[in-house]
Amino acid sequence: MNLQIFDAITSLRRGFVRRRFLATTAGLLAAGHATSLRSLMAEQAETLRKQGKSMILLWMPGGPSQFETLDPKPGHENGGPTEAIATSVSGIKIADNFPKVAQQMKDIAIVRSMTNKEGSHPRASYQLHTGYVPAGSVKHPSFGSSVVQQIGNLTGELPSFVSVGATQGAGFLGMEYEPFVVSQPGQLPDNVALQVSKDRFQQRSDLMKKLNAEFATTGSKLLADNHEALYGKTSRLVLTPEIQTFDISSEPQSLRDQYGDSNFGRGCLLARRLVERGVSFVEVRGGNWDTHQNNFEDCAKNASEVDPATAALISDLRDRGMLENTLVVWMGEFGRTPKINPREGRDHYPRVFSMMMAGGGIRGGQVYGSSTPDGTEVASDPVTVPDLLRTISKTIGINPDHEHMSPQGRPLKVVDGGKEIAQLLG
Amino acid sequence: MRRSIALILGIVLAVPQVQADPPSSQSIADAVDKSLWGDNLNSAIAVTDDAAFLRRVMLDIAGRPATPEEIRTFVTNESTSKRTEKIQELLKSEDYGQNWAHYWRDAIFLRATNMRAGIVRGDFEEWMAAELNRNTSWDKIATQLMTATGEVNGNGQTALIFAHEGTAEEVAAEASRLFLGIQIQCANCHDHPWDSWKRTQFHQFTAFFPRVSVQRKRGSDKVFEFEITAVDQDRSRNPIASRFLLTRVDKNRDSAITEAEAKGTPLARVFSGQAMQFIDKNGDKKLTIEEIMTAEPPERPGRGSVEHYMADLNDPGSEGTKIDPKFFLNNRKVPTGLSDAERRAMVSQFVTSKSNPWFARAIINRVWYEMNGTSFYTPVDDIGPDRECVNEETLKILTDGFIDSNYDLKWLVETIATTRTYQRRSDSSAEGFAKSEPMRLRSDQLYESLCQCLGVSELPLRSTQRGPQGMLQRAGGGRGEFARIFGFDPSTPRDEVTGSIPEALFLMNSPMIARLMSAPGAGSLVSKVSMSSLAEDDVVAELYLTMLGREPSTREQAIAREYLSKTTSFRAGIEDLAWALLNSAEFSSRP
Repeated sequence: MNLQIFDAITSLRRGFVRRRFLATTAGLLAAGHATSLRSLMAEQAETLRKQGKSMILLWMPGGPSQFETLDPKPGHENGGPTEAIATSVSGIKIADNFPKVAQQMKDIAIVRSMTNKEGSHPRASYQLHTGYVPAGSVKHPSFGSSVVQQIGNLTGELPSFVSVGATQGAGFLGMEYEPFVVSQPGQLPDNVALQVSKDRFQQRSDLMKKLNAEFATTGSKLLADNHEALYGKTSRLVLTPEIQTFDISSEPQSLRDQYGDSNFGRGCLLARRLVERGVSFVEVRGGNWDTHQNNFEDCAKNASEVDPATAALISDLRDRGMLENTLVVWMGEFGRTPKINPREGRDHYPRVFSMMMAGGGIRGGQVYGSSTPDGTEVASDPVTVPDLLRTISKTIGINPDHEHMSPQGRPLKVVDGGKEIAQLLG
Repeated sequence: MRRSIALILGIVLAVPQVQADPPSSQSIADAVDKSLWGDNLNSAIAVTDDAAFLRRVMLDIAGRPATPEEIRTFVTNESTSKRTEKIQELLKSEDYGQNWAHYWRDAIFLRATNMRAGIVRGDFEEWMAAELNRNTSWDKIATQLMTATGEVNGNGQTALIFAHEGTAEEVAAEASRLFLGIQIQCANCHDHPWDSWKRTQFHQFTAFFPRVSVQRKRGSDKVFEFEITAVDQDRSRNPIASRFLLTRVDKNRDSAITEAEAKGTPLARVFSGQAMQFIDKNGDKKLTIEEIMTAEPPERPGRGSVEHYMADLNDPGSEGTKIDPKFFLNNRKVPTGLSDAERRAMVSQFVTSKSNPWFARAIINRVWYEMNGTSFYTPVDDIGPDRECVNEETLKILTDGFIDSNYDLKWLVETIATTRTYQRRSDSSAEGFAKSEPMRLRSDQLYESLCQCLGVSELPLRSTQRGPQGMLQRAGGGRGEFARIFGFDPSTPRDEVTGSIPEALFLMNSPMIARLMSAPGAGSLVSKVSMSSLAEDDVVAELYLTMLGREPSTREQAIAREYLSKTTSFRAGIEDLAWALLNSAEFSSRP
């Protein structure tokens, strides 16, 4: 009986939660409390629920055209040649570039009324990642760092924030919350292979510790302590069998085929494996959507990698019972101009654009907000960047009003302003 | 009639500059020590030993540690003035300019809001190193950075403006932060909550920079060629073509121009460019004369606008209030309608003026922090009249001296290095300015340390990233790739820089480092040290000297001896010791 419950919890989530639960249980039972396991479960439920949540950000760098992805306008001259196709939810159509994502529509909420002011890549990308516009003098933490600070397992064997490709860092939150950046998804990260046997590595490390202890007394205790913490974390990573999480070769070929033979596909599969092992925030970058020319061709090309991988990720998470606790967010830094330029391209357009989310407590099968028929304006229910981040905060269980103290001594909220969009929440 | 810049500045800044003899570094260093420790200097602080002094001063001034040869020569030199001589020798070496150019590269570029800024990183390094080595005064360097114009590529002084794509607010904020240490941009959106700066003051300062425009170089087809130009004329009053030209192009006289009519005329490029979107308002692919005459290019940040407008926070879409330039530290009246060149020349004069102490205090605070690990204000880039200063009297002595030296940077470094305070022994338990704790090395200092002890001039590292980003990264060579793992912003207080997993992984497991350190051949570090037919203890000592710039303590010798007695071979033991030293906290720091 007990074991079954424990196993249910374990399968819900990672080992450390289970260990803590066992410890609590043992403690209570030893103390002779007549607490039933059921109420114990209830006590732990809130914590479990929070710690169980993870987020995967599928970042579409360059700013994907809403017309060629989630908000097609066939028949209007601004829509270009892109067709709209039916999805698994009647009445919702998306661009023909995304046939596989269309099949997952029941779990997806599309927002077609994102609106913002930043039209330059670095600035908008910074803003969508941090919730703040860049200011040279304050380095805002990326949303992922804030998530990890609140619900990440900072003592786990795997880093709690992993990014496939470079991203915004932890800013003033500091190294502890920095993403661990993977450049070649699907294979082991650089320099994780020991150059000597495990035994010898251990001996060397012990020698280094002795030397550091000397340094702590004659030099700097602060540096020695930091060093110890960092090398402890890194040694755990190189020695743990969990490092194999980064190597996707053990996944069945059929599943790998579903994700697709692309960096983005491998990144998405890696993201699922990491979340499964307790990692709280994973970012994966896909395609180059800065289609100032050949918009239609290039969007189709990007989608040929992004569509299968995104769809495979959602269905794989669902198949494993992980979708409920894993929020998948798909977005880029802005949308693109309704008007097609003479080079068959579309330029930057932050005034109205689209994004989508699935899982993690988001109510799927819906479209929130709309753009005008010509796609130039938001027609209904505008959503700003803070609105979006606040909604995400709610669904993954972090406090958006938590205040970080910037190095200038100024308190900065995780999300400044904005309002939750209740309709998006399940 | 054009106003002359010199004339305007002459009226505004009527401060006569009298050349005085710069005070000697030794006399100011003595005054600094006395201000901190009183007359009992010798009993108040102990001086560090020669090896630690040498490691410290070489990494601080030249950006690299001493070689075993340099250490031996220095330690056995019996001259009483050898420390002063070493400081002066290092300031004469090219390494000095390189080292501090790396520092400023990170200070500027790691805060860049323009991701393409990387393309001028190398140019900046080269330019800055040359300026520092020829000892160009700090006011002239700052002025060049604020007034840079023209081609970006090959012109390092464009760094500050290009790093922020010429966006007036960002350039102003960074100029204030870097050169004055004042974070006036906090007042961008609202009056500063606890400082006296008002929102208007930030925007008045910004109004010196709005005419700066950064754009792709005209006529260039290369992705990475940009230039800085001035927007001194209102573009809305400067139509794309004259009525006269239009009537000539409009062959059929229907008051509209088609692509066919435009062929072969200057208007042809309008049809193929992005501008078509805002000119052809009704989208009929024909341009009426009316459309052309009234076309207004959309304003974009960094593309220059004749005047600066402070946004109305209640109505962000509106134009806002026009703001005229004024400098928050002198509040002098500035004539309206100045050109870009006049505005930026004037703001540079204001910022670097000797009657403005914050320009001197900001750089002194920075250099002092970098060399001592303590500072008058923390963090180094948040100072100003509203902040509390530690040891005000000491800072005043340095400020007066630095201003009298005419902002001579080598004088400043020499003066700080000459103080007994700088040469004090490491003591992390002490309080205030007596505290001396080893400091983590910057990326370039660590890179030089690795290269030097591994006996190579460069580490063979190469980014494998594809696309333009990879191209930029590869341009930085092994050093740039190393910085991608180890770089940090030197304005950040050092105790907030704690290291990352990829850094530790690199030092622990990089096959390249392992090979250079302990490959069996004759070239590796371990081979060189252990083949030197020395006694075991001496091999250990040599390894310490090469890697940490000092001899091992008796306890450390004992730890090594015990370890070596248990390993399968002496060679294997030395390999392990070399690994442990390279990965130690001490290796990545300076005493």
